Amino acid sequence: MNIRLWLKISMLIFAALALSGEEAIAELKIVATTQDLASIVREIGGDHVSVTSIARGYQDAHYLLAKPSYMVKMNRADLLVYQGLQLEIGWLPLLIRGARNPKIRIGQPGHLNVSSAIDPIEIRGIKIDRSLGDIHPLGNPHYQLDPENGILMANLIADRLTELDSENDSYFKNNLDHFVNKLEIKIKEWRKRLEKLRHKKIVTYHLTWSYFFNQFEIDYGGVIELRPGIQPTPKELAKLADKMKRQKTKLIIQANYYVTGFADILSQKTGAKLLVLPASVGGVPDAKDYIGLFEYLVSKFEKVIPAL
Amino acid sequence: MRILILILCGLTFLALAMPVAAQGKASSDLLKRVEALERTIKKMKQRKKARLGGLNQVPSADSGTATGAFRGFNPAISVNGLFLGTYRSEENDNRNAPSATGLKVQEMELVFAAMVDKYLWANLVLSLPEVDSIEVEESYVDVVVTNKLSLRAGKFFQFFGRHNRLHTHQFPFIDAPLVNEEIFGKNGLTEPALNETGVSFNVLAPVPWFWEWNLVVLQGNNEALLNAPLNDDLAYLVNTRNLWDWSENTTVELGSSFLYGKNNIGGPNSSSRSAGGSLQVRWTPATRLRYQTLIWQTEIIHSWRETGVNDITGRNNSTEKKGGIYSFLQYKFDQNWWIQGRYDFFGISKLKNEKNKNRYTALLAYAPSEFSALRLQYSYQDETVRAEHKVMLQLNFSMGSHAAHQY
Repeated sequence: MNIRLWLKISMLIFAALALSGEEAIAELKIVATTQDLASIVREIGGDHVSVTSIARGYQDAHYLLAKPSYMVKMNRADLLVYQGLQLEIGWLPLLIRGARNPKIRIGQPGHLNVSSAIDPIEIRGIKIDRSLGDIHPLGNPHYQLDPENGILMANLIADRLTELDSENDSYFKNNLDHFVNKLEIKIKEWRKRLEKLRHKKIVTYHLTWSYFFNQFEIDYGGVIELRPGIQPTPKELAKLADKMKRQKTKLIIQANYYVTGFADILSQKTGAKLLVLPASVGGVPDAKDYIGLFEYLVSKFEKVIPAL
Repeated sequence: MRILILILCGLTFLALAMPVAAQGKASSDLLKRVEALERTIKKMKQRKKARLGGLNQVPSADSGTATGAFRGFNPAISVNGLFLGTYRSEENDNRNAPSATGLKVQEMELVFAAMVDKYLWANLVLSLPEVDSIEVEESYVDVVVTNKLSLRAGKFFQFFGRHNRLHTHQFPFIDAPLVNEEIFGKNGLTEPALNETGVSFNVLAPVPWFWEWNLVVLQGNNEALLNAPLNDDLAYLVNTRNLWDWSENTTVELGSSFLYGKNNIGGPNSSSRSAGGSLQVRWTPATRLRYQTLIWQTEIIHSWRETGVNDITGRNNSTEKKGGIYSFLQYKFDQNWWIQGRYDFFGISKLKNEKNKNRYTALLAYAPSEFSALRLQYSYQDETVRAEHKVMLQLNFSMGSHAAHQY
């Protein structure tokens, strides 16, 4: 085997690849980390953007693997849009480095942390350690589940699209106004439809629903995963079951990317109904876009209200 | 007269009613304008908030110390620890045996990583093997030149195959594969194989799948294979890696590596070469069963080391050839548990007096969180004199801000 010949051939191929140019394309190429962000980008960007999402709606974005195929998408992107608040901290930094794309590095216009548009809740600050589980010290990252945050996210995304493609400024603004108006009308409608859920106690698997609960004035009846990312012990489950019986909590909800074993046990012990729901656009086929996600969630909650 | 009065009253009424009607219409218009203004103000506030938010960095959890030094620019620091208990059925009368029966702190590893400026990302890894010495395991900078080309310069685990790039705490098994130890040198359980100072040029090919090329110019200090006598005899390495998404749940990766450099065995013209190939198939469900994973990985490495010219006959001495292969299967069946098995074979090529080596390894792991794992490993190896049984129990833990490992 002539390894020196192989080395020379490899160097020639290498040089050809390194010097190959890029074709110019009119639309902005955008990579979003979640389908919620991708949906909002599509609403604003319309025909002037092509968007791809890394995490699928039925995946837990905390625990994605940093597959090299994602780096290929990010290598060609003009803009990276991500949720932040350390939701993607387990995999996104590795992908950004591996993508080798100077445009999407931190500090560049092509790097957009959407959490900077909203006021996070459940900020833990610096007095934390890993004995508390996989917590997010800067705040709960599932803010997309408050539709009013969707308005703030849309505004920030529109501003960044305008910065990157100023020629289509008025197009993005029109789309933004259209999306925001539609969302504002729907928010009023959803609040009315979920009025009877106000101040009801609901148990969840993870702290996924905090922003949703805030918006629709629902109370937490307890959390199954007491320490995020760490499965509950039998003792913790029993304690929660007792609490549910005392408080007469009749509903457990969880995102559909978690196993239902623990929630099933709790449901059997307490007689509470278990509702498995999508926490993201694309989590179920009917949740095709951002407004569609909330429409799906509200209709599911409406059906269980009589039993609460 | 009455008609006149009636007409006058009517006119007066109209005169009074028209402004009221006009006022009503004006009020209604005014109300609409106010509502429109409120909506505009609300939108402007939202846009201002979003614009200000876009300018802000993610807030730092710690703003400073009493000295005024700002800790926000400190590198990400993490520590990895490996504690190991070993039982070997052989060499228990040899106090200096590598991987001897006993207990030890196998390694502590300190990692510092940070963006230096807009262009450079730097990484420093210090290893304390058996906590009685300290060495620089890796120290390099990465820079992205274009979106096709990036560079790495410094001391780092070379891009040869899959296993060679790994730090000890990342090893799929507690020990390294036989073929890596035999070809690149072994030094107990902590010493990596091909770890050199060099400059790497890295290209991501413009194709729809992940196809990476690495061209590395190395110092060539590896004593088992390289270590040229002349300063200007550098070594060269080319590595390619292809990864395809077979499906949403399955990836297939194929890699190849070629290494060339001079060695110090047979004079300044003696060279060494090595070639390797790797295959990995990984299945990880995207949905609720995401805790399950199945990985099959195989790697084959071969080396040729020229040994110079015979002083008496003037003929070339025979080239030392070595070659081996390993293959392992890992199955993660729960969030916290996995099992795996590996077969090592060294003997595709070997030195004259060497026998083939076969090793069979099984491992069971429990990880209570992503940051710690307890691993129990049993291996059986047929050695030159007697077959050996080895049992190892390792605690692997991580603290601080440690970056995710390569896929």
